[in-house]
Amino acid sequence: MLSALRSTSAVASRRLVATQPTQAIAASGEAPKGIGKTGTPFLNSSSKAEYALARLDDVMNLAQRGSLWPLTFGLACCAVEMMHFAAPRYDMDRYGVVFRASPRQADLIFVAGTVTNKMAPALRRIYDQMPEAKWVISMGSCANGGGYYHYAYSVLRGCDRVIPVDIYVPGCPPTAEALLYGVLQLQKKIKRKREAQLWYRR
Amino acid sequence: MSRFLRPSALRTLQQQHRNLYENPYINRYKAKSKVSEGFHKKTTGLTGLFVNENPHRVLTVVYGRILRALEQMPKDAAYRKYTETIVKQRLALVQTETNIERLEQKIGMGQIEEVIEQAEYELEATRAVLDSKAWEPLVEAAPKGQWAWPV
Amino acid sequence: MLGSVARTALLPRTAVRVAAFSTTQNCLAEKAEEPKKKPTIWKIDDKKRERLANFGRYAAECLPKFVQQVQFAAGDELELLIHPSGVLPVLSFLKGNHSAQFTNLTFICGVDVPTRKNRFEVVYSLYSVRFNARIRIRTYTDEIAPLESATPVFHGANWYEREVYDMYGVWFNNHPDLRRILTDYGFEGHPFRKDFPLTGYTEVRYDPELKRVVYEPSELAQEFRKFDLDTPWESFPAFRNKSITSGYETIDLKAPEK
Repeated sequence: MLSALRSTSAVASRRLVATQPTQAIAASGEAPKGIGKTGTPFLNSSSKAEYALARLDDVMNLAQRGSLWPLTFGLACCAVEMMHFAAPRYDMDRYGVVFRASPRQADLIFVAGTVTNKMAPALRRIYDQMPEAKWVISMGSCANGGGYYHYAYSVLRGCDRVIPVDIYVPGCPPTAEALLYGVLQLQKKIKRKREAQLWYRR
Repeated sequence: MSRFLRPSALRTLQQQHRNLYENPYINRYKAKSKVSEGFHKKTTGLTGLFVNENPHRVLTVVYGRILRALEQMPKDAAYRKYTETIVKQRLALVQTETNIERLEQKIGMGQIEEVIEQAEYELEATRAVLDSKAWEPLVEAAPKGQWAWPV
Repeated sequence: MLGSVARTALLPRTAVRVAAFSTTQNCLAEKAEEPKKKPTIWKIDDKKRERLANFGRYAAECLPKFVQQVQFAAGDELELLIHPSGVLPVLSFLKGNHSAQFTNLTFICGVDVPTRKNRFEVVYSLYSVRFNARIRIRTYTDEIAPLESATPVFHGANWYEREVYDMYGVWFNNHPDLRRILTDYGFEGHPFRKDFPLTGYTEVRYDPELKRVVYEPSELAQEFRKFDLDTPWESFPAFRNKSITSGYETIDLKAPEK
């Protein structure tokens, strides 16, 4: 009898998964480790002020990760995969990721391809021109660490020598799916950003 | 700015100012590509190659220049022999045939404008050969092993 | 192999079908019967080769001062090997001559063979749109001796010569704007020379104190790895006993074959 009840409730929760994921998680108690029922990673607040700022952080992070506007920095064949990411099959727009052609409007940069020594100052300048709260996704082996051209005289051995990188997407070139996964990882990273709480602690 | 400049300088400045409709390069291109009414073709169909309405005159002049340059070479120079033959043959065709389209057919090297361009290139080549005295014996043999491969 | 099996299996059926459909078109049936062989081999057109050889002799006869040797490479690619002083006259002859008309400069490139007395070769490739023919002109120079720039004849030579200068350090006289084209600003050395180390001399990084990208002598964290790329299988067993040759065939200038 009990087992029958359990099975029906499981079916019900599965149905709920299809319709309302948050409620389903709440019902089955399967929220990921360290994540609250509302999807916040900030669970342990010591005071009321900190609780309020944690919610503020939640809202800020939600807004930022939901509208990542990347700057196109296609340098080689990886740029083609980056384009595929923008095209309808992997449609990056459904994550709120929209290409911008100006660093002033972007908060994310895909370094897609081989960064040469000659390009390094330009890359740094572009990065400096982006407004604060900015992220970098290094795409492909060449941008990660020089890759195929690691020993070449003219190639930067990884774009992290010039700008700080948040996510490294491996591959030569990485598929559009891999880049998509990289963006999702970045969103996960942004979720845990605690700017307001750090400001309060200081 | 107009207060500090003389009127003539101002005028040149204004003339240098270009827009889409007064681009001197486009104007020159248009002026060159004008063809008079009643001429048998409007265009050569090749970019940068403009219709020439007096091909006989131009060809006679250019062939004459080539022949004069060739005369400065020694008689037994191979380049002079071969080029003189073909240029004289073409010049004879140009002088006998007055109809442009028939002339093109007789020469058999495409449109007459292309033939003119060829003749101009040939004139440059003739002058280069003349300046470098290319009919002389080999200036210097290659060092030993220069063209040997694999080394 | 699979293809041949499939073809033999398909052949009778196609033949029958053709015969059934068209009794009048006998030629089609015949065509279907004989198996078509299309190996992906560049077939050398003997007539064209003969024409090219004759043109090579003609060019050598017209410019005896500069042409040192005329040869075929890889079967039917005509090459003129010329003395470095004759770059301009040879190029303008090939561009201008009525029976040549090589009006298109395909590329200019350099070759470095350090063991030779004149270590650099400069190769010009031309294409004749009128006669659908290609020709290569090769000349030589060393680190110091300059070549004459081809820009008066071919405007397209401008950037090619800049590239050859950048990569090999061959100097071109009377070039309108001879400076580096590909390598970094302030780059030193010529990277395609055989004595240039693969990793170069400098590397860059961003200096957070100076707030700019700085150049430093390059330091490799890891030793250069040498990969053994040979396969365990023999690649060309049919050519096991053949010696390595260049594939060049010199054309005899004195006695044209008739």
